[in-house]
Amino acid sequence: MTVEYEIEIMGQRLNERIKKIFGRSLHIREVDAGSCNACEVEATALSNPIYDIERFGIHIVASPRHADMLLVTGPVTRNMELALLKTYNATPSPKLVAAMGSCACNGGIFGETYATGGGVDRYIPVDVYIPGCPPRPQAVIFGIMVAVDKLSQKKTPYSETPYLNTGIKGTTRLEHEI
Amino acid sequence: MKTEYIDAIKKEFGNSILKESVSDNETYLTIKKETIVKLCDYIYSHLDLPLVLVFATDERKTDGVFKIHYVFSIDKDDAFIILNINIDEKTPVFNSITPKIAAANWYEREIQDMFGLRPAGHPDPRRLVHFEDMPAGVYPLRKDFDIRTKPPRVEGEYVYRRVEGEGVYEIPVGPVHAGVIEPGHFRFSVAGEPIINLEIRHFYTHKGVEKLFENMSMDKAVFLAERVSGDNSVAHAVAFCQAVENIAGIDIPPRAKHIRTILLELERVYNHLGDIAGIATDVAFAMGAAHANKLKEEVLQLNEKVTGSRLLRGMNAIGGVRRDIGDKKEGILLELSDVQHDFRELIEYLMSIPSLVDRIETTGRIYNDTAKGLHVVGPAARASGIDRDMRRDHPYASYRDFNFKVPLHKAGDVLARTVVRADEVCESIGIIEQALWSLPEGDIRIKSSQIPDGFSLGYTEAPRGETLYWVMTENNRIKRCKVRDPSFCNWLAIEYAVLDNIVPDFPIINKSLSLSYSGNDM
Amino acid sequence: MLDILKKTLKTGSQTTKYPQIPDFAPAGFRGKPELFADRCTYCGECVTACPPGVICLSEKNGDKVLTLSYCGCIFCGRCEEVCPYGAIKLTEEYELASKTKDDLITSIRRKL
Repeated sequence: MTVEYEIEIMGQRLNERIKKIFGRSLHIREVDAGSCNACEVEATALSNPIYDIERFGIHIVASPRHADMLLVTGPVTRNMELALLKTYNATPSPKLVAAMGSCACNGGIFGETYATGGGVDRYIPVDVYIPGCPPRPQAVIFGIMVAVDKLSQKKTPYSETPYLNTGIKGTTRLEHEI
Repeated sequence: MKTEYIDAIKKEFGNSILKESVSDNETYLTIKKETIVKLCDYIYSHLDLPLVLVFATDERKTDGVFKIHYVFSIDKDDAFIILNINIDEKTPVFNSITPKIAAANWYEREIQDMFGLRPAGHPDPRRLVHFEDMPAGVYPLRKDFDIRTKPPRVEGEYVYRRVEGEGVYEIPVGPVHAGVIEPGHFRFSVAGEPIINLEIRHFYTHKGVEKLFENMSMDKAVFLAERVSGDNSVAHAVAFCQAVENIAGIDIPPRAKHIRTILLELERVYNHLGDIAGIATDVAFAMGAAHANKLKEEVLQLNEKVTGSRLLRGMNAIGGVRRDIGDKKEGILLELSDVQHDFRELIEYLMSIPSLVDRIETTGRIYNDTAKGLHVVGPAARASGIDRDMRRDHPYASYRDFNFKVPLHKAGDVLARTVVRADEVCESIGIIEQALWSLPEGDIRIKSSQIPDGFSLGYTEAPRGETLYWVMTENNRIKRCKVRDPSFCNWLAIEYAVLDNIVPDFPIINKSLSLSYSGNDM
Repeated sequence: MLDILKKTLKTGSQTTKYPQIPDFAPAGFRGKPELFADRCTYCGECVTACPPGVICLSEKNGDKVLTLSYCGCIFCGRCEEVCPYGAIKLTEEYELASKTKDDLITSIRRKL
């Protein structure tokens, strides 16, 4: 009873926080920079009735010109490099970039070859890294929250990071050192 | 059985066969390079065997030549004929078979880009994989090319086919699309609303996968195979594993075979559900899409419970599977019976809505002869009256033990493809149930540390159609791995499917073919 | 029309409560890899087995350091499989998103 109640209270607080951060409006443009399409499966899943990110006011939009955030997947292939840069430049500032999936973070299994660049941050500044191959939709939602938190930090400095003390584990630093 | 074809070839072309070798169900014939066009034409037109794969290998170190291999499938005897010709490095030219067999079109252009061997007489000798900014003389799949080379960007121009006439205009689309899909460029020529020409340009997601495979150890390569086309992970991994197991002569335990079959079918179920949801979305029938997406999500969550990965990754390994799923039998059966019940209800409902059926009937037709000529595979082929299915014609894993029907329709339109998929979902669930009920006891994996040198084909029927791997090993590593995703065959068909349709119907046609960009571009 | 209403009512709300209520990945999920310093012998088996090559073994100030970056990790679990001492385990944690790459590195070290 008490645990459930606690979770509920926590959930409500978090809910308010999410609404405050998102302002019920975040527009995302997904850019595939050469992924294997597994990340696309999960990005599509974000707008299905189960995850339904529209409930936070997050929309996936058709053009980078409408977007606040780019969700980039794939290791950035040689042939997509120009298209990615054009998309980035077409997005109005302030903008966020999230690298979704291990390829986008670091090249993943494709690494760096004659045809791939080995990560999104070699081409455009990345605000949040979402590892996973592919990340679960929940992990992507978490990643989007971290990214938006960064945006709010850009505007007004936040003293504390959200999602601490919420039962949701944050990022991990160097640990297990002896 | 299959010898009747070999005998016929020998009778007609006996003196141009230089070498013959047989391994398992694959017959390799080395042919004089001058007669290859005639011989391929003979096999294709007279013996009526489909050309399923053309690829090259760089064997200059061992044999001093490049080799080009042409794979024909004998469906009724579960066998393959593989012709190969030797190409000398000093005269890197071979005769194109595309004027005779349209299905060879992209394969030959790919060989031209990746190996620098020129197909003489090819009707469309433009670049395919490389873009115009790639300098001349960069041939990534040659053995002397270092994978880490970063070729500079040069000036160049890609010439699109032009359609001219009064009132004809072009609509360029992509590579970054409006929806959450992969990148590719489409150029429509339209007169009013109807499309009179479509040219597709792909290979934006070319990652050099075939080069990455080279010199990779077998264990790692399985994971790379899973990532050739993300939503067909299992089909690719199993095809790769089967090729290597064939080389090593490993017969995997029956329990592992059953588990692989279950995984392959789970993959088919969630892919088909996603495609049906996509079609409902594209005709703006949100309620149908929501329900189909919900079912897809249920299967994805089931996948995660069973294998630890929503896309069924990390389950296959050389010699079997990495995890046993026997203890989750009840859960899978229960969940799938729910999915099947809901799905039947949904499909019945979708097919009773006139505005939906009206929109997809006669839309995006691929006629039987077009499909056959381009070697269209998978559900798209079965919706155009081509009765081929690797699970039945070249049985692998444990498909031999199960009863299932291969749905066949003749109309070739979006409706037919949707109905084929819907029927396949039910068949797949049937196969999973049979496999779970008859799951044999025993090991799930044979460990093998040493893979002998050799080469072999591996194949599966992915949700999109036949997936082929041809693997050559050397010193326990991969020397060459040719991957052929079903999308590589089907992409050209879309140029024909859209003709005389209106531009707003293009997304539905595209979705109904459900093609992978990554699997095509690699 | 009535059919739609009937089906919608029958299906009800399906949306997950995440992130208000934490969502735990099912048992067997391959998430964030964890290193155990007390079990590791720094043999390097995991380094050779890792498909994307994100595990590396180095020496720093006389210490042996094993570093794993789950930035490029594909969560295949090969390291866990090959480790003879059980010093790597893939946990069920999946909320790994981070603002910097440095946060995505975990390492253990031992004096030589």
